[in-house]
Amino acid sequence: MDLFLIRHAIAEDGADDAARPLSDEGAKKFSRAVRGLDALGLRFDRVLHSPKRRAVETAERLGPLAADADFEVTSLLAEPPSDELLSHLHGRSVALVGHEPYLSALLAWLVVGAPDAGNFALKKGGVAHLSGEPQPGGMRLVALYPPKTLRELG
Amino acid sequence: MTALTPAPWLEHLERHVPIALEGVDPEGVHQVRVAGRRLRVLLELGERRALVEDLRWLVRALSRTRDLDVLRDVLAGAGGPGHERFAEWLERLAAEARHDAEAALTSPRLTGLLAALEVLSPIDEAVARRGLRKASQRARKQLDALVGARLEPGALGPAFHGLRRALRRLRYANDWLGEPSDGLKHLQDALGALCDVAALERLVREFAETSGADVSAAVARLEAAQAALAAQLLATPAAFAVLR
Repeated sequence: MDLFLIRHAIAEDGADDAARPLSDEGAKKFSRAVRGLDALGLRFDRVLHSPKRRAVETAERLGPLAADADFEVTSLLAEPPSDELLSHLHGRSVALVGHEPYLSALLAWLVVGAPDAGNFALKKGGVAHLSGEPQPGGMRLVALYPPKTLRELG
Repeated sequence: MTALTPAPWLEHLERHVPIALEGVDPEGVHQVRVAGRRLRVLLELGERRALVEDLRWLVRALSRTRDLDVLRDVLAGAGGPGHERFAEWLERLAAEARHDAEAALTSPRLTGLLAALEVLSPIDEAVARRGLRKASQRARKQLDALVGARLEPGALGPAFHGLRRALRRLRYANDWLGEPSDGLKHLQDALGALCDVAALERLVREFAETSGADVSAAVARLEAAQAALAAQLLATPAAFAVLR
């Protein structure tokens, strides 16, 4: 499986964390990053995303890369990574849209085998590409794309 | 920008999830499905991608339970459960369906769906009105397909079913935009009666496949009932005037 961990794009500030929308700048920048992912030839057959508004709006912008994909919301992406989340990971090319520090912990868990094995510094709108079996220590890190790099590719 | 929000039907959905989970009142499952469909139409009107599939999943996850609830009503109206083995088989199906429904109603997917709908960005009304025009065109296309299907044996059932779904989408779209939809509801209800009998026939056939029972007489009666309902509808073109 190819797994893409995508941190939500830049959002507005707000008292209600779950309701914070993407900022205009964040939406524009992420749309350019998506063009960068497109230039890399990446496509998704599943898109799982957190229910928080900034994650939903980020997932929505992946549409051009996910023409035939199943979109699925799950509360498991708004909390620390769990065995239950891993059990939901199936498909050929799967995008997960979520939040820090949970995505970094998931990355460390899948690649190193321990969720606290390091900080991978996934920026807002950044993407980590993993490949392998979605189980602790079962994946390798193929690439870590900072958002700026993706925008330049697009 | 005038905007549409999911609030009224989200509240309806949230209120009926516990009733559906309790499993005592069939209205719980039914109303969760109604709210799920209405909310999906809203997102489709807004040309959204995220959450549409989740709402479709929710409606489907409860469809077996709903079909069996409707069937119980139909059988009760017919004067009794009839064939004992059929009744036992139905109870087994109902238990399986109930298990699947409970899994969906307690899943992180539904938890996420409700949370995401709570904070959904509003739908632009101008975009939604464009969607309403598309829904109207789709319903008329389905009506044309139904008229064409009159000549094709076996095509009438799917054509009625397709029209019913398109009508439902159109009615819900009208409701979201505050447009009148009474005529559509009347036609949708008439088609609903036909589709309920078709669902019953499918279950009877499924029972025959698993049990080896001879159900030919029951199937013949159900086919005749559908033909009579279809003929009645097709003989009253005024019923379809609402789409013309």
